[in-house]
Amino acid sequence: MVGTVGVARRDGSDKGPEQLPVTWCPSGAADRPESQVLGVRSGEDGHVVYLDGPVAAAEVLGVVPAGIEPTRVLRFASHCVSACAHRRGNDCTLVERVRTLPSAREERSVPRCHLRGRCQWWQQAGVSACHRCPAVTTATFREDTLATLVADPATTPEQLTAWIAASPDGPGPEPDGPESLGTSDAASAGTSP
Amino acid sequence: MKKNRLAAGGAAAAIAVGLAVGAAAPASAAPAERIGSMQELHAHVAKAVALESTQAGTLGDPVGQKVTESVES
Repeated sequence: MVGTVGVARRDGSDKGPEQLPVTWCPSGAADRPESQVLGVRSGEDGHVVYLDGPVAAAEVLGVVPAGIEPTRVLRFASHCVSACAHRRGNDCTLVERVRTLPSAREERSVPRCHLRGRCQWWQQAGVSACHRCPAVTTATFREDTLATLVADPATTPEQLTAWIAASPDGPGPEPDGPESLGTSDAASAGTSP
Repeated sequence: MKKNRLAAGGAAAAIAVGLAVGAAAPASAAPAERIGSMQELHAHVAKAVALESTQAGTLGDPVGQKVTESVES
């Protein structure tokens, strides 16, 4: 079921809050009341292994040892918020940059995901987002230049494409670039995932 | 009628071949791994933490939600 959130009515009438559909960020915050665990970066090359169903973030955060940033090892889903730096109107500019990245594998199918029906990335970019989602690490290192560019709301998809094409490793096995984002390989390479 | 029977037979043969090919075709890539229980979740977190412990770097901006002001939907 798609959640709703009450906001002030645009017409200023006194009919109670207007119910707007809530979309969820698949690379969201861990500390929101609604935050859920989407997956764990325990797969090959640090890719995300997804949960069959949502688990409250609060139930899992305590398992992550002190000194480890939870968003390095887990992916959380939380409500999209108007104050997000990546938001432009009802769109997410982050997924526009993420979909510029290469898909790691020639996959015809997409990972099963409990969030999909509510996911902003899915609603906006469809399967092209789902193909790239497992490679996304929410918290990345500054040494990872590509991840830093993707994280920057000022970066345009065109700039990313140009950067990938000009990177020493080239565009990778597929036309649109290297294989993952924010993985350990990326950090060690310093310039590309 | 004869022509129709042939057509029907051909269709049946085609279906049979299709089924045979389908049965003989190798299974596609193994289903992606999933986490179906809290026990599995804890095991995966432990694995991810072990992997993360080998990494070093300075945390930058998130490739994810970045709230700049109040948190309102």
